[in-house]
Amino acid sequence: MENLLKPDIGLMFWTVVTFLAMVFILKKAAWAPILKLIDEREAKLKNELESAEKNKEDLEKIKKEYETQLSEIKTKAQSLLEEAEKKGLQIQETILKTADAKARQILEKGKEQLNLEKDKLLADLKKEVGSISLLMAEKLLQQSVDKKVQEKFLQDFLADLKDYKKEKSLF
Amino acid sequence: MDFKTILEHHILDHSFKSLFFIGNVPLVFSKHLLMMWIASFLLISLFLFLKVGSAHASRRVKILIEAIVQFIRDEVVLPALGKEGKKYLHYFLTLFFFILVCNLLGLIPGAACATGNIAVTATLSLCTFCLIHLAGVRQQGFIPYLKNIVPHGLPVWLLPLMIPVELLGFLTKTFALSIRLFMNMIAGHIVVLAFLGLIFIFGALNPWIGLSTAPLSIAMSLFIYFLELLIVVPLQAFIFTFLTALFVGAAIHPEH
Repeated sequence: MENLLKPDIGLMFWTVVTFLAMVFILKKAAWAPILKLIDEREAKLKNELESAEKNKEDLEKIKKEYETQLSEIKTKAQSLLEEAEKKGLQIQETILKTADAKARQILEKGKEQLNLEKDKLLADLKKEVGSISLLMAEKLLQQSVDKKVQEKFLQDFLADLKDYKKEKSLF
Repeated sequence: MDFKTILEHHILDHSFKSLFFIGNVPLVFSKHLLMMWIASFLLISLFLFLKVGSAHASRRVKILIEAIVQFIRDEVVLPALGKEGKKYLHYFLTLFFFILVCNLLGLIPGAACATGNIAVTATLSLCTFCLIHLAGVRQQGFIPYLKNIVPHGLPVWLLPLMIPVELLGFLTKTFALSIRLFMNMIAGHIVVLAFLGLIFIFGALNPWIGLSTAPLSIAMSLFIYFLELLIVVPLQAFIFTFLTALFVGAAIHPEH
């Protein structure tokens, strides 16, 4: 049992040789390929993760673009609508204006025509009255009134007629 | 035959033949050396099998080995050594698998546990000792490494005290490594033997008592055996590797 804690130098030498040989052999035969494999797998995994991330980002970007486009379209439609409304109002206004002007014109024309008719009527009346009074004067003359009376009568009548005309023109 | 001779027979090395001498030292071919070579042979053939063997047969073994390798790389070596750890990775992997296979071989009836020999564990920890200082010098340069042996900002008058303490620390660290592995390996074997020895001790009193205690003894020794196989053996290989990584990491990054 005393040998238990007494290291044997020969075995130590062999252990060094064996262990270091194992380190070198296994480094070449085992660890290099296995570590390479693990590294490659990790790189692949990382790549896949990154590409997935990128895809996600792309999707997000497209979504954003779509949203901005949508909002643009919305604002455009809004502005178009507003413009159309404005235009409609303008057209309405012009139509109303022209209609108003036309109506006024028609009214004016009517009034003018009415005045013309009135004047014509008045002229006609004056003529008629003149002829009637001439007729009356003739009739009076025929009733053998002397010349003087006749004259005077005619003068009076003409004066009256003048007054009447004056009154009439006041209307 | 008493218990002591049985234990000695099981635990101590058996020299077969002296191969040759270096000076006065006989380089003996012994049972533990044979076990070590068998372990090396098994390891090399395992990796050859992984490389050459059919994909179907080696797939599961490959996955297992890769998982262990990745674990040692990501959980043990790289956290302790930082990104410089990749240069030393093959050393730690070999250390782990070598100790593991030696430990496992020790559990085969009739075989012997090479890591249960103080010469083997002492040599492994000596390799660790060399690696610690080589890595430290390689990483920092010789003079800065010597300066970093004692912590920074120490008063000068403390140096004569601290330098021997730190140097002693290096020695005890590696010494503890070798003793830990050696004792753990031996203890399991001794306990298994002790439980089996109980049968014969009771049998010497009375064959019937020995026979009646046999099932209990066998059950207990089996329990210890599986405890060794499943927990102690991988754990000790892991601890040896883990502590080596910590020490090397401390030598590479002195301020940690």
